[in-house]
Amino acid sequence: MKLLSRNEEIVLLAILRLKQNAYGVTIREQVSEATGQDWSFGQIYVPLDKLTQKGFVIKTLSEPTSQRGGRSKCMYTLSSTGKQALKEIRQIQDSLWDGIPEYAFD
Amino acid sequence: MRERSCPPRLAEWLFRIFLRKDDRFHRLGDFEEVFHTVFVSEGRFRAWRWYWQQIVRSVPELAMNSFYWSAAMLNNYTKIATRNLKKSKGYSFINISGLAIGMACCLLIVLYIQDELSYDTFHLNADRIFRIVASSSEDGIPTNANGIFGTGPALKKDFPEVQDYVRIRRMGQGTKRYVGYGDRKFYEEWFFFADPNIFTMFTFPLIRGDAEKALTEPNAIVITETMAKKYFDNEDPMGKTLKTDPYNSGEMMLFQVTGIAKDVPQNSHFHFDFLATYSNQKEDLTSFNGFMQNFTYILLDDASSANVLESKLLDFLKRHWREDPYYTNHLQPLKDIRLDSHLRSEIEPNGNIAYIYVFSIVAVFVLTIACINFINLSTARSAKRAKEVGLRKVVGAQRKQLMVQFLDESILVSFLGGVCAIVLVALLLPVFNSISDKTVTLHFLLRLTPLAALLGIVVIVGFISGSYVSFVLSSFAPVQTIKGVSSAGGGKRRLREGLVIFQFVLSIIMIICTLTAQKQIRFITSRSTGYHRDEILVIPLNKDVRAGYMAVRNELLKSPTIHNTTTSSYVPTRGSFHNGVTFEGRDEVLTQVLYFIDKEFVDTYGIQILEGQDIISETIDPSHSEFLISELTVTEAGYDSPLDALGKQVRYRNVQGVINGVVSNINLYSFHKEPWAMVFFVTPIEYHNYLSIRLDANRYGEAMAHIQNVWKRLIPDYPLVYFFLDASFEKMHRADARLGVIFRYFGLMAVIVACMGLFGLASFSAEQKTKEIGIRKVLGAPIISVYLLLAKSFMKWVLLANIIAWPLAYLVMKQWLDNFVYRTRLDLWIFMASGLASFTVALLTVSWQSIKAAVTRPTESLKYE
Repeated sequence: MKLLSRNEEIVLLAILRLKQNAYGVTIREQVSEATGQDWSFGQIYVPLDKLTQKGFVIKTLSEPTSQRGGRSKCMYTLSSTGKQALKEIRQIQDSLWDGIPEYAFD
Repeated sequence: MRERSCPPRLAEWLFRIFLRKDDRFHRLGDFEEVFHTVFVSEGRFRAWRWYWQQIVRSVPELAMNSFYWSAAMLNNYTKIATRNLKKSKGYSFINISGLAIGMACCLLIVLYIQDELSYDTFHLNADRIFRIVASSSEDGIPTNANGIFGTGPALKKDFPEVQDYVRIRRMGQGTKRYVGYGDRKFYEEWFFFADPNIFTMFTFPLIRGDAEKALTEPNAIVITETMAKKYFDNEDPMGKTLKTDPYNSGEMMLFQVTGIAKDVPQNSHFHFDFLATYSNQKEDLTSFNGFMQNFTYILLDDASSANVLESKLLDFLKRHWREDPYYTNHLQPLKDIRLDSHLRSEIEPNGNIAYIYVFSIVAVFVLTIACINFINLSTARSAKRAKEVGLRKVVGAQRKQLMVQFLDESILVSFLGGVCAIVLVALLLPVFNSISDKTVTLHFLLRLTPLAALLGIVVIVGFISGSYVSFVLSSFAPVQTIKGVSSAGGGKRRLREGLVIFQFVLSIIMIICTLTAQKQIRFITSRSTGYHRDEILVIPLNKDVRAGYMAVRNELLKSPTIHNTTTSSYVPTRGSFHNGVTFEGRDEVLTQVLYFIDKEFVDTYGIQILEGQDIISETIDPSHSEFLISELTVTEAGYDSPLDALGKQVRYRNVQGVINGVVSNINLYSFHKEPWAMVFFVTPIEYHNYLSIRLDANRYGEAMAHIQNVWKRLIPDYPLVYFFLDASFEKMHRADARLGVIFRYFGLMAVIVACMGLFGLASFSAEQKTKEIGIRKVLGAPIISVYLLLAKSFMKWVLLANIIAWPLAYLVMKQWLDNFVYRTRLDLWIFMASGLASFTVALLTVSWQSIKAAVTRPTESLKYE
């Protein structure tokens, strides 16, 4: 199975952190804050779509609000496979980082 | 109170395009939410700016995303399409190969046309360069590509719109000229004298040497890369001296290499190997007399001044030459030469715009046949797909989706066909090159135009065929199809039949054209030219032969295999000299083809004397010459009959005398042209260029051995160079022979593709009728009747196709044959033969399927419901 890409991982983690409040706007804020760069919506939607296609996130619609011009939000939550994928990439990362001392970066 | 603000409409619209349909609505909401936040906190301007920023940043990502999704969908369709193709390998193969053949034909023709149209376009000044051509008749139609020396410089002096001029003089026509460096000696065909501006006015780049100065000094020569290799190997040619004999007179002229030019590209109407300083020529270069192999090109300040300038040319000639010029000059655009120019003395034979039309039509024919096949087969097989379509619709497929899927299948097949076409073209390139006399390589294909054309063809073919098919297929009502009612056929059947008939019409037309072309070629090659061309060997004269001709002749005649020998200024198919001759009884000077001969010419060439007698005098006396004229000259000079012409006075320059005899007309070049009016008289051998030997064709080997023997003994310093007159003549007709070959190949392909179509349909029809056949057999019908049942309908189609094709083909061929002065008849047997051929082929194609169906045991065919 192909590993998660960096962007996908970041988006997944953002969704996880946002708990019940993960949709386009909030995900973008979260990710921009964490990385320190201003992500565009396009950069969010593309990985989101891929993740949806792979079945790592589940999409649900919320109530419409007037602030959005009467449109509802697409809320995202992780699926079990999504959580699995995150755990997997974490494991791989840990095992790669294991045993590398701090002074290796001098 | 919050202002109701909206994001900028335009920007929103842009987003709408790029966001995927499903999420579009909601995602726009995301944007609007943030927009409001910014609006509230920072004001309208900032909000707007933020929105636009988002667009600029998001659009690329989103665009790629939507591509990705469409690609994913396409991928899915393609997988299904491939699976389908594999399921019915036979039909797929027929479809793809049919399309491949059609596309390959188109591609080859595109390559051909592209090449032809690109001739001479590589010159930077191409639009403003014109060639000076001459017309010697009153109606002003140009007849000669060559011209006199003096026109060029005089034009530049007289007319300010003529910015520059370049003259080139070809020395290698007819006989090749000696060129040597050290021990490397060869006879060269493409030796020219050229004005120094040839490199600035035309675009012939120099690898070494200065373009401005290379040919300004006398005794300079510029050679091409290939020649540099040929004579100097890896030595540096610059500054070295070449020994040459451009006049074939034995007097060597020395030239120093001042430049090396890149080889002239193939798509130029003339090619040179050597360019020597123009001023080195022996003739008077300001003269307005005598057409040599000299070609003048001028550069105008603007292409539009050509017409005005041309109208002034007659006066120009009157000013510089004589009160009463017997020819006028015209301007011919450089880019028109390749396709339109077929004058006398062209440097190289040119192409023909007629061929481009013919080939385009042929290409469209074959491609049409292939497309028709495709459509036919696909719709015919729709019955098989009916169930699939029905199921899909039940499961929820929309019509549009189905159409897209079937379209995709068609385009896939088309694409595969295209790929195969490229492979086919690569394989056929050598054949194509030999037929068309070009050197097209595969990387011509990889240029933009052919690839774009191929892509265009693939898409169009796939689209057109596919849309019809998908339209039909996707329209099936689900319930009907699952129930098993076959709705294929019916009204569509007429159309399908019509298409097959159309295919056969095209194929039959091609067969008829091929047969006719073959017949015409055979007719031409066997027709008499007025002289015995199949027994004559020609050797270019050189200094030694001229000096010792009598000795050579006596030695040659010692063998009984040699009939006679003669020397002359020109021989048929190798150039001609035109000039004005005065005849008794006519005031104006008539332009005639002049042959300087010796007294054995008529006998050696086997020319028939109609009236009067051959030249008898042993001595040459310019004031009492004996003239021979051709039949045509009799008419041109206004005499009542050949008999009437005998004894009349004739004068050419300082030679005068009477007409001794009238000979029959001779075809000097090819059967495309009428014979020309000719005047013959005897001059000393110094003015002759060719030695012609008539030998016994049955004892050719002996004769050749003898000639070589004599040559070795008497002319040891020059290698024996010769050519056969009939070979030379045949070369003139190569283009026609080629056309015949092309028709043959294309005809074959058209027939193959048509047969494929027929085969596909026949098998389908047989399959359709399996149940019916089974029942008939159970009821006791013999195999023959079943076979006839199937074959009959097809044969009717072929008959109809023949009926349509015959008159069409007749018209087409008549047009083509009108090109020739001498043409063969369009006999009935040609039509019958092609009819028979089409019948046989169709019968064979249909038979296989029919017989197979006829012998299937009824239990097999009735098993499946």
